[in-house]
Amino acid sequence: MNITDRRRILGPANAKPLVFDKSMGPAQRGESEEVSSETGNDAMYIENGIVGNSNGSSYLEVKSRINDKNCTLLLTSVYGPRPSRGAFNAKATLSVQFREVTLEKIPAGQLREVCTFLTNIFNAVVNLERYPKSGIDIFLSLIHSSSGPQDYELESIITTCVNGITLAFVDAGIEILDTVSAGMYKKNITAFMKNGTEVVGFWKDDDDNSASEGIMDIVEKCKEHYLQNRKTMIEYMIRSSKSSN
Amino acid sequence: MAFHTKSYETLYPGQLICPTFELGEKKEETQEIIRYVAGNGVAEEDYEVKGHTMRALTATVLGDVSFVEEQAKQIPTEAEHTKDEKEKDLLKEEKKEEITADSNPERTFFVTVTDAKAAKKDVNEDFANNLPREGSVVLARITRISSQRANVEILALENKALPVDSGVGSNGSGVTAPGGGSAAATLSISQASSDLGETFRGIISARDVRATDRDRVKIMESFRPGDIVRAQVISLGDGSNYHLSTARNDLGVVFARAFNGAGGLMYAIDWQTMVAPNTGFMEPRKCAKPF
Amino acid sequence: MAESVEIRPMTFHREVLARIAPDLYMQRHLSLGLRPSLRAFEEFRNVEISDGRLSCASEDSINREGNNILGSNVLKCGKTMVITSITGGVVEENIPVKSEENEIVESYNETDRAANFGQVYPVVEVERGRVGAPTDEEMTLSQRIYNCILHSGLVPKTALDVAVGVRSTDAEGKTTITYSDEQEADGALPTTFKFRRKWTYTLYAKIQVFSRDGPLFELCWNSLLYALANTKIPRAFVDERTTDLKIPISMRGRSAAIRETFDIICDPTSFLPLRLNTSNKAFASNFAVIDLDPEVQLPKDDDDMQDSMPSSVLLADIQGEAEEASVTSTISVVTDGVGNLKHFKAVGGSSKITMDMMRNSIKLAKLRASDLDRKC
Repeated sequence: MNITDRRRILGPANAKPLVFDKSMGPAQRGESEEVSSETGNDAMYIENGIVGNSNGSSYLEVKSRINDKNCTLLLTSVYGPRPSRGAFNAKATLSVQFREVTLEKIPAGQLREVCTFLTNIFNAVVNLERYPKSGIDIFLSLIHSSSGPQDYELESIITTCVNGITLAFVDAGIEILDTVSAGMYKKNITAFMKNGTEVVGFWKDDDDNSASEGIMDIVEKCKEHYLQNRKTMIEYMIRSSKSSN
Repeated sequence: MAFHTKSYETLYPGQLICPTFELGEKKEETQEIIRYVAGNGVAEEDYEVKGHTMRALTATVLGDVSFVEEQAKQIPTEAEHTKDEKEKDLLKEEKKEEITADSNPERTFFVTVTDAKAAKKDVNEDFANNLPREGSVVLARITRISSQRANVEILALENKALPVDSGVGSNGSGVTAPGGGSAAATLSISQASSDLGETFRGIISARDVRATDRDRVKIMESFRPGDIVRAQVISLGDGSNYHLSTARNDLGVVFARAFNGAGGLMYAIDWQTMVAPNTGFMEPRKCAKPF
Repeated sequence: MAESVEIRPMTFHREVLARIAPDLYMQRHLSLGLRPSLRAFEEFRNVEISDGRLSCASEDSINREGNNILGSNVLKCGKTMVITSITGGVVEENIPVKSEENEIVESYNETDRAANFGQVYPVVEVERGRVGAPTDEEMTLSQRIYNCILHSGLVPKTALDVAVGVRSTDAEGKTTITYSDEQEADGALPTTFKFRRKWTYTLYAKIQVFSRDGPLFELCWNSLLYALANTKIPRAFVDERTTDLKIPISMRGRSAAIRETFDIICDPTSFLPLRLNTSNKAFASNFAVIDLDPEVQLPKDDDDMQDSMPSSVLLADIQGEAEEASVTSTISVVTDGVGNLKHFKAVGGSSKITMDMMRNSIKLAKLRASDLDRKC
C-alpha cells in the first residue's frame, strides 16, 4: 500500500514480520498429512447467540478427531434485516463479509471469491421475499484456522462458513428454506439442501488427488459429509430449543 | 389422520410439515378438502416424492408449529400470525363447530412456525420477522421537522418487536464513546438520532397528523425533534421511508421534553397541549390519548 | 407529582421503554437503588479470561505451526467478548558508527522518561455489523491504549532486545544454535559473535471486540494486559554463513557503507517469556457519575427516605445502552492493587464529580485491580 494508513497505529515502517524456521517444527510432522485430508471425521462444537448486538450469531469449532491440530474456529453474526437506502426493493439484499480476527493470512482476492460463493448460496436459501426494503449482512470472523503444515485450508473454512451462516440465520429467526449445510471431500465442497437432493453450491480447487475422479463421485462423497454435518446441526438446534422451554 | 391434528416436535428449517392440501373426512356425499396455507416461518416448496413432484409446506425457522383455521374469507391479519393462548382456545372451539356444522367441504389452515423462546417473552425481540407493515403501530422518534412533514426513525413496533442494532453508544451520542459511528462526522450533532443509518425511517406528512382540520395543521405545533411518537404505518412508502400517520386519538406524542429536550418531561393535559409539571410551562403537541 | 387519574401515562414494556426513553428507564431503576443491569451501584461484572490456546508459544496451543501469535487472551465480561492476539516483528535499530566499539549504552534518560519503555502497537476493532474505515471509537481506543502502555512503563525497552544467536552447521551436517547469553560459562565463543547491529522486537496487538455493551477501553486494556502477561518471544538467530560474510566488511571499516540485510530467523522451539515490569502492571476500571432526577423518581412509601437520597451517585463498570445513553460524566482509572495510579481520566459532563467520588472510585479500582491481578 502506498498511502500510509493514518487511522491505525501501524508501528515502525521498517519492521519485518517474524520468520520462523520451518525446518525445525515443534512437532515433527510426518505421515499425519495423509490422514488430515481425510474428511468426515471431525467433531463440531456449536454455540448460538454469543454476539449480543447482532440479530443472530453462531460460534463453530470444528476439530478433526484424528489430528487435533486441525481446527477451525469461526464466529458468524447476522445483522438485519436492516433498512436499505435508495430505490424501493421488494426483496432483501444479502451481503457476506469475511474477516480474519487474529492472523491475516488469506489473500484479499481469495476472500472476495469466498464471499461471492457464499452470497450466491444463501441468495438461493434465504426467503428474501419476506423482507422488503431491507438488507441482511453476514459477518464471518475467523478466529483461528489451522490445518497442519499449510498456512490455511480454504476448503474447511468454506465448509465451516456455510454451516455457521445457516446456524446464525436460525438463531436470528430469519427464514431459510432449508437447513443448508456443506460437505467437503478433498478439495471439493458441495452445499446441499433438501436432504441432499438439491445442490446450491459447488466449489472445486486445483487438486491432484481427486482429479481422476468423476464429478458425480465427488458430489456423492461430499454428500456423506453433508449429511453428517446436517445431522449435528439439527440435533443442536432441537436440543437448544428444548432446553430453553 | 389429518395433519393439523397431529402433534409435532420442534421443527427446524427445511423440515416438511404437510402437503398443501389433503383429503379430510369422507361423508356420504361430500369429500372434505383441507388446505394448508403458508404463514410466517413456513414456505411452500416443490418436493419430489416417489417420482412425482408435489407442493408441500416446510418450516423456515426453528420453532413450534401452529395451525390456525381461517375463520371467514379474509386476508390474514397480523393477529393470526402471532401464536398466543387465545388462538389456541379459538382453534379448539373452531374444531368443535366444524364437527357439528358439516356444510363446508373445504377448510383452510394457516400454518405458522414461531420461535418457542420468543413466544414466552413480553416483548418480541425478533424484529426480523416483524418488519413494520401496513397497519402496524410503531414508536418513533422525530428526527427533523419541516412545514410539510416530520421525519422520524422507527424505534420499535409497539409492544412487539425491538430491532437489535449496535446500540446507542456506538453512534456517538454518549460521552463514553465519543463519535463512535463512522458516519458521525458527516452528521450534524443537533440532529437527534439514535443509530446512524440503522433504523427504519418514516415520514409523517402534515395532512396525516390529525383526522380533522387537516389543512391547518402546523408541524411546529404538533411535533418537535426528539419527541417519541406513537404512529401507524399507512404504507411502505418509497425506498427509504415508511409513511406514517397519527390521525387517531390514541396516536401522537407520548414522550416529550420541554424546550426542545432541555427541560423536564411533559405530560399531556389535553390532545393538543402538554405541560411540564415542575415549571408549569405548556407547549403545543399532537398528543396521544394516554390510556 | 403530576401523576393523577386523568394524566396517567400509557404503559410500555420495559424493553420498549428502555429503547424509546433510556434516560427515564435509567432514572426509574436508580430510584429503586438498582441499575438496569440489576447490579448494585458499585458492583462490577465478573471477568472470565482464558488464553484461547491461540499462541504458538504455549504448550497446549491448538496449532503451533503456521502461526506466529506470541500471546493471546480471550476476555469475557458479561456478553462482551474481547479477543487479543499479540504478534511480533523485528526492527533493525540504527546505531551510529562511533558507538560500535563500546557496548550500546543504555543511558537512562531522565528528561524523556518514555524513551526507556517499549511500545506495543494496538489495533482495536469493534464488530458492529459494518464495514469500512475504522470508526472514531476504534481510533481513539487504539491511540489511548498505545499511549497508556508506553507511559505506564509496563514493557521495559530492554525486554524487546533481540539476543541474536548463531546457527552453525558442523562437518556432519548437524546444526547447532548458540546464543551469546547462554555461552557465558565457557567464554570462548561470544567474542567472535559481537554484532555490529542491534535488533529489537516490535509487538503488535490486535484487539477484536464482539457484542459491544458499554465503554471498551477498560476491557481492551485488561485483555491486552493478560495477553502481554502470557506473551513469549521466540529466540532468534542468524546463520553462521551470514556472520562470516559480515566480518571482513566491517574490518575494512566500511561497515556503515555496506549493510546487507540480515535474515533474522526465529526458533519455533525455544521461547522466552516477555519480561514485564510487574510493578507497573495495572488494571483498568471505569465509573460513571449520574445525577438523580428528582422529577422522575418513583413515589416512595415512607417519607424519611426523601432526605437520604443523594443528588448524584457513582456507578461502577458502565454497561448497557440505557447507562451509556444517560451518563455524561465518567471516570476511568488504571491502577494496581496498592494504588500506583497509571492513568486517571475524568470527564465532567452535566453531573458534577465530587472529590469524594474520585476518592471512592480510586478505592474501588484498587480493589478491582487486585482482584483482576489474581486471575493472571
